[in-house]
Order: sequence, then C-alpha cells, then structure tokens
Amino acid sequence: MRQRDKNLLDLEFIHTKMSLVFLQIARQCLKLCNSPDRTPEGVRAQMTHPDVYRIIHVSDDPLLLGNQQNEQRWRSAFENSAIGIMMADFTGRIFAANRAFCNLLGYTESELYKLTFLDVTYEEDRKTNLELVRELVEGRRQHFQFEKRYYRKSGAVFWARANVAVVPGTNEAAPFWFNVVEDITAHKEAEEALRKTEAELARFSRLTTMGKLAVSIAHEISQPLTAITNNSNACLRLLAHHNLQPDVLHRVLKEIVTEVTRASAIVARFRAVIMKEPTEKIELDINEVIEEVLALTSPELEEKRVLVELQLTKALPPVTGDRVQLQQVLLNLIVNSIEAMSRVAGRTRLLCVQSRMSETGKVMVAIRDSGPGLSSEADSVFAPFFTTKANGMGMGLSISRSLVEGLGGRIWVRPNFPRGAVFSFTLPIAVQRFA
Amino acid sequence: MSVQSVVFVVDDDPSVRSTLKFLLSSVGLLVESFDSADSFLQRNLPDVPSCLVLDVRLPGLSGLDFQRELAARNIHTPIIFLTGHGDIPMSVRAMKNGAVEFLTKPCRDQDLLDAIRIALELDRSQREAEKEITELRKCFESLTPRERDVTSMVVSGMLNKQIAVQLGNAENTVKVHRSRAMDKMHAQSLADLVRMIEKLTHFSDEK
Repeated sequence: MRQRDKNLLDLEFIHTKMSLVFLQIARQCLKLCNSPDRTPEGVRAQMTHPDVYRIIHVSDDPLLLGNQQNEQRWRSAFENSAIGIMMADFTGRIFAANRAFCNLLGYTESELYKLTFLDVTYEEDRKTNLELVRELVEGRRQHFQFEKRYYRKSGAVFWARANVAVVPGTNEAAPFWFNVVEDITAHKEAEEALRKTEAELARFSRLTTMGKLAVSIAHEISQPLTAITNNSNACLRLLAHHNLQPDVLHRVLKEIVTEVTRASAIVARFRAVIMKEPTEKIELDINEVIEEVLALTSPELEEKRVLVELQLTKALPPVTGDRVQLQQVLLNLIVNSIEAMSRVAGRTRLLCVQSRMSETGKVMVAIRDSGPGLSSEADSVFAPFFTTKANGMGMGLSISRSLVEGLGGRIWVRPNFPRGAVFSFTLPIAVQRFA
Repeated sequence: MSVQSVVFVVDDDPSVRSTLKFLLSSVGLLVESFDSADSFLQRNLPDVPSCLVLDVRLPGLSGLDFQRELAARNIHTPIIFLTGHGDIPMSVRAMKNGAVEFLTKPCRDQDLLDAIRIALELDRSQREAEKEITELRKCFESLTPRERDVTSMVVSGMLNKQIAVQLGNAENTVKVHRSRAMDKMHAQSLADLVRMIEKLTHFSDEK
C-alpha cells in the first residue's frame, strides 16, 4: 500500500460524522498538492493549522501537489461545521477551534488558545478526562468517546459527547489530538426527567402494593387486638359482679400474652418492609428476601387458598442490590401470580418459588403459577400500562423490569407446563472480595 | 335479655371466636360459634330470637356474600358485621342489605353488646310478627271462597246490600258469610278485620 493511501486510511478512524469531514479535507488536500506548480514548502506556507502538516507530509509524494483554492475550501469545511471541533497539542493546550466550538463555549478563538482542555472541563469530569487523554498521548488508545460536562465562559455547565482521536506526529509535525463535540444537554435533561418519573412511578407502585398489603395486615392485626379486647372486657365485667375465678383470670392473662406476641410479630414483619432506607446497595441473600416476601403475602396466600412450594437452593452466592427493590420485584410477581390464580377455579392453585444458579453464572429466581397463563400477551407484559386486571395500573411489571435491569439483571416470562406462567429474573452475584 | 336467645358467632380466627364467646357469656348471653359460613348453614336453626356476629372476611363464602345467601334462603337473622378493615363501600353494602351494625375490630364491648341487644329485639319482634302472620294466614285459609269474597268486599268498605247485589245473593246470606268470616278470623270488630287483612296483604306484597 502506498504511503498516501495509508495516511488517508488513518484519517478514517473516528466517528462517522467526523470521518466524512476529514475524508473531504483529505480529498481537498490531495487535489491541492497535485497542482504541478506548487512545491510542498509552498503548500505548507498556506496552511496555518498544524493539523494540516500531516497532510502536507503526504504531499511529499510528488504526485500530491495542490492549489490554493482547495486549501481555502478545506478551511471553510472546518469553520462551517455545525459540530464543534477543537484541536489540542499533547500538553493539552487548545490550538484550534472552529466557530461552532467557540459558540458552544462562549469564548472567542483567541481566548480559547490561551486555555487547556482542562480549563473548560467541569471539575468532576477532569480526572477521568485527563486519564483518557493521557492514554492517547502515551499511545495506549487511538480514540475515545466520553460524555462530559463543559464550563461555558459564563460559568454555566453543559453536557456534551466528546469524540476524541489522536493524530500521530511526523518528522515535521508534532502529534496532536482533536475532539468533535456534540451538545447533549437536552438529551441528558430528558434522560434525567425520565429517570425521575421512573423513580416516582416505582415509589407510587410500591405505595399501592404496600397499600394492598396494609389492608391485609390491618385485618390480621385486628384479630389479636380483638381477642385481647374481648378477654379484658369480659374479665372487667366478671370482676364487677365479683364473679372472676382465679383460674379463669390465669387462663385469660396467658391468652392475652400470646395474642400480644402475635400482634408484635405482625407489626415487626410489616415494619421490616416499609422502614428500609431507599436504594442502599448491599450484599443480600436472595433466599432471605424471598422468605420475607412470602411471610408478608401469607394472609393473601391463605385467603386465596394458594399452595406454596419452595425450591430454594441453599448457600447461593450473595447478590448486590437494594433489599426494598428486590422485595418490590418479588412482591409484584407473587401478588400477580396470586391474582392470576384466583381467577381460576376447580384446580389446585400452586405457586412455586425457585432459586438457583443460572447457566450464565447469575443467581436466578423463578416464580411459576398454575393460573390461566399468558397467551399472545406474553411479549407485552413488561410494557408500561399493560394490564390484565380490571383495576390494574399496568406498571408493576414494567417497574420490576427497570429495577431488575438497574441491578444488572434480566427478567422474562415463559409459559409454565402444563398451564400458567413462569416469571424469571437473574441478578449478577456480588463481586467477591478477597482478603 | 332472655336466656333463650342465641348469638351465633362466625369467625375463622379461633382466638377471636373463643374470646367473643367468653365476653358474651360474661353478660349471660348464650353463644354458639362457627369457623365458616358453611358450617353455620349446616346447623338447624332453633326457633328462638337470635342474631349473627359475622366477620366480613371469611374463608370460602365472604361475610357479605353470606349475607346475600341467607336472604336468598329466606333466613332473616339480623347480622352484626365485624371487620378488621372496614371501607365505606363495604359498610354501605352491608347496611343496605339490612345489617344491624357494622363495627371495626377491635370494637368497644358496649357497642357490640348494644348492637346485639338491638338485633335480638329486632329478631324477637320479627319472629312475633311472622308468627302472627302465619296465624292470620291459617285463619284466612280456613275461609270458604265465598266467605273470602265477602270479606274482601267488606274490607273495601262496601255495604251488605251492595255486596248482595254484586254477588246476586240475599242480603241475609251475605250477613251469614260475614259473621262466619269474623268468627274464623277471630276478629273482634270490623276495624280489627280490616287491620288483619291489611297485614296479610302487606306481608304477601313484601314477599
């Protein structure tokens, strides 16, 4: 391959948009250098930007001699690019910036040339940015893409996607790197708004799930309270009529203690769920979370006469996640299964909860029910606002999916054999710490 | 409250059941308890004033469905609902269907006892009214067709003479039918007879 072609190919290394610009530049240069009445020195004199040195080096080939007009076109392409482009030497000093880049940052060209790329980089992004550039300079990478924040001259901050590539040095020219900068502030803001909405929905769905549970807990706790109240009132009445026998009192007091213990256990169980701090990522035993959620849903399970079969693999490696989020995912899936099964009559309502290692080395949980199953709906169950319930909001599974994916896992549904549905999800195991 | 009356407690929670029984017995009430609507329905109900203390949330048939089921079986035992989590639609539905009271667990014992007293009194008067109607119907059924015709015409305010014309009988014959009907109905006066027939009509309308 001839030197010229090789150098041209080198120009194609980056982001498509940039490549197009540069290929154009390269073509212009070739024409420029092809002009017979121009010496390489002459061409060099026309070019003020060091980035062109490389291309002039290409022009050492006697075939590559160009003319002045084309150089002018090349400059306009750079200047008129709608995307900000800047170039910096290996010390980080900016030595070229097009109009779009200047406008983006609010500096004039000459002001920018007094700065380094770090001066316009948001403080928190400097360390990572510097490290990436160092890798370029040291030849450990050719290019990188990095979402970072810039300071405008006014001090305002904006988000941008930086596409950076290195241009190696030659005998005549120092190496440098250049950066094609896209403003992605709007995109970032939309992303942030979406994340907030999702968090809000997750909280809301949690509240509705909790509300549903609160009703069943309220019923459950009212039972021991009723027993205690009845016993105490009966004793008071008997006492008023001097008719309370010590053995009766003894029996009643013992019953009261039992009922108080029962009530406290119910309260403790509910508190364990609602009092947790949101999103604290800790190492969790998934089996423990499963058992907590099953204890929580036991009134619902009893009422709907659902049989539970547990197939938990002992000593699974811990997963990293937020306890409340995992509880929420499990709650959603289990409550859904219960509700699906309560719609069928005449056969056993069996809920099977399984935990094991998946083939891909993740912790996997499967929840199978003997409900009516999902027919053509199976693909859309995770979509927001999808529901098969008369008063469902259709957010439960959608939120479960974003929670599982947020923890680095995956969630899916398959038909169960012979009937019903299996919802499964995986979670990556916590990173092992070596002593 | 008479000792004869019975309070039926239906609750699936054994400790609620036994303590309710203990509480109600402590004021001298006779209590029978059941763990489900089905087991209650299998019991032959005694002909004494009674009422039901019912948990809304029962396994199998829920409290509210049970209320409807009883009405369908023509059992009018007054119902007091107890619930761990009463919501408004639930209580509205229960009261509309004729519940005496809708109490939230744990309730004040006096509220429950008051409700039970009201329910038992309601059932007692219901039973008395029913007995009276049964008695009246028996009497009315002993009338001959002609006596019934005469009775209904008398009750509607027609004079003997008018009845005689309408039926094509002698006035004396009408008088005989009329006095036989009065005897059979055990009516002391015309006003008494009117009242009885009204009750009978009202009751069969209600049915």
